[in-house]
Amino acid sequence: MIEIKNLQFGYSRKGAPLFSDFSLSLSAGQVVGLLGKNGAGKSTLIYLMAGLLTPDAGQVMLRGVDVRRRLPSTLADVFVVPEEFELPSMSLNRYVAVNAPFYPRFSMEALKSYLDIFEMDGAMPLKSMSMGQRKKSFICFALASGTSLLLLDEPTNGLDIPSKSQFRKAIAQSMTDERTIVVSTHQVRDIDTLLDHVVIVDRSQVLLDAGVREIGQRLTFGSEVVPDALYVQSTPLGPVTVSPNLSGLETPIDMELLFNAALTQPARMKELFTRK
Amino acid sequence: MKDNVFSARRFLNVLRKEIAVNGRTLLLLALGLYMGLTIVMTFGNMMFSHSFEIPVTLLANVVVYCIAAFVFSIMASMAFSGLKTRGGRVDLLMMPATALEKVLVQALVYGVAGVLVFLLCAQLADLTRIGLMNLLVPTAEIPGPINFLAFPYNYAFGVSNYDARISFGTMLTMALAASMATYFMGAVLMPRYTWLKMMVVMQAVDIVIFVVLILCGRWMNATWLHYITDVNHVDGVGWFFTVLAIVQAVVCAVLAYVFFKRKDVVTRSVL
Repeated sequence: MIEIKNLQFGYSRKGAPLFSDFSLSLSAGQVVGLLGKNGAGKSTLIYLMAGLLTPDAGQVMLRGVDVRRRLPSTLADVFVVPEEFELPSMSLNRYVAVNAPFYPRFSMEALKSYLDIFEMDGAMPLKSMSMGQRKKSFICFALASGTSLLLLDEPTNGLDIPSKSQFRKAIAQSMTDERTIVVSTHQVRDIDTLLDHVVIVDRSQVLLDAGVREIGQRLTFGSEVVPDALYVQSTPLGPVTVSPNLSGLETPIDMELLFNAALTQPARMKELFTRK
Repeated sequence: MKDNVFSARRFLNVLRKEIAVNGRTLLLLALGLYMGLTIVMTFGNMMFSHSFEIPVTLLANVVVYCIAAFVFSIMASMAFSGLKTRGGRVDLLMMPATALEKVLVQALVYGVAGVLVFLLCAQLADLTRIGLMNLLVPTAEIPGPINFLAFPYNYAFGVSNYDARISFGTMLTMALAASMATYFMGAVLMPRYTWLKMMVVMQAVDIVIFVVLILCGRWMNATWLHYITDVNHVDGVGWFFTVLAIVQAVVCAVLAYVFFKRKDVVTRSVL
């Protein structure tokens, strides 16, 4: 679906590039969590996947087409919800009327359904909405656009707790076999139940690129401290650990622990996930 | 393949979106322009209606064209307002249309339509002037409606004997087009405070050109100065600068497209 090949990119010509010989491949029909520390390059990767940045080397291909060419057919198949966005002074209904014609697979029925989930009113002026309301409106439009690739950068920032639950419901409802949703976030707990695939990046390296099922089969998350644990974290309730899963049975995943384990033990993580 | 260059349907969608998003602001600006021109023309008529040395119509045309040059550069600078912020850049660059369609819409709205709206406002302001003058100072000399389009084309530039007399209107039109295209290009390169920055850049360029010409004049023993100030050559010089303006307009318009096509959501440092 989307192929990133040997990507090289940096904001400054001096110093090390943000991405060097970076490769990644994402399939259709998945909700992908793009996780990483602040400054790891998550937003930059989102922009590169959308064709909003020109790589110094390498390519980002969506269904075999270089996204940087910004062909209308490609742009009509990708939607970005950036962390900071602007909406014009008009009602949501008017915004939809003006923008929907650009997206051939846009669905008014789907939009109404998402607006109902978020309890939003399409007639309300966008400028009079709070930041959270504007975000929910924009997310509704993005989901209803019907694009194959949906890129969301920190989508739950600014959403209250009930809205985060509504967000999860809307994402789950919008998924199809043809669609890939990439959610870049550092608030993993907001989306951990949604994810089919996890990508953890740090300093131009992919620390983890695996499906949730595979993660659950290769790792176990618990409170038992074992000698070969990848990661041990002390909590007021006692230690919590990430260890190799010797049973082979799928276990529930703790995304925060997974993230910390990948950052602290990248070599072991890589070795575990390349082992057959 | 052609669909990846230009589509009339997409062009209209982009145009519709631009008008929906910015139409209200542009309408208010047009209203302000009309009111400003009305005040200037009415005041000018009052001040100079008894002056036989300066014809009111000539003065009105000169003032309106000076205001036009100023307003056109500001209008061209207002293009690509979406590039001012990161969110706006994402919206504009991700809009499913080609770069050509997006640039043409900006040129149409902030170039062609802007000029037409200015001329319309000028004519309406002139008619309002007549009404206001008849109301306020009915004894004053109140010239009839002024045709602002005809004025520059009634004056020829040059006194040569052959037919290639270039009209002042042609020169003025090309100069305005060149100015607008330059500011239009500036709107892509420097989306924030475009007009101010481009003013500084163009003044600097003008100073450099002026200094170079003076130095060249000294080296060539000022022959070229005598040449261009000779009345028999003024016509040719007029054509030369007109063609130069056309080239400037075309080059800047093309560069605006090229720079926009290469635009990224985040500007990277050159160093």
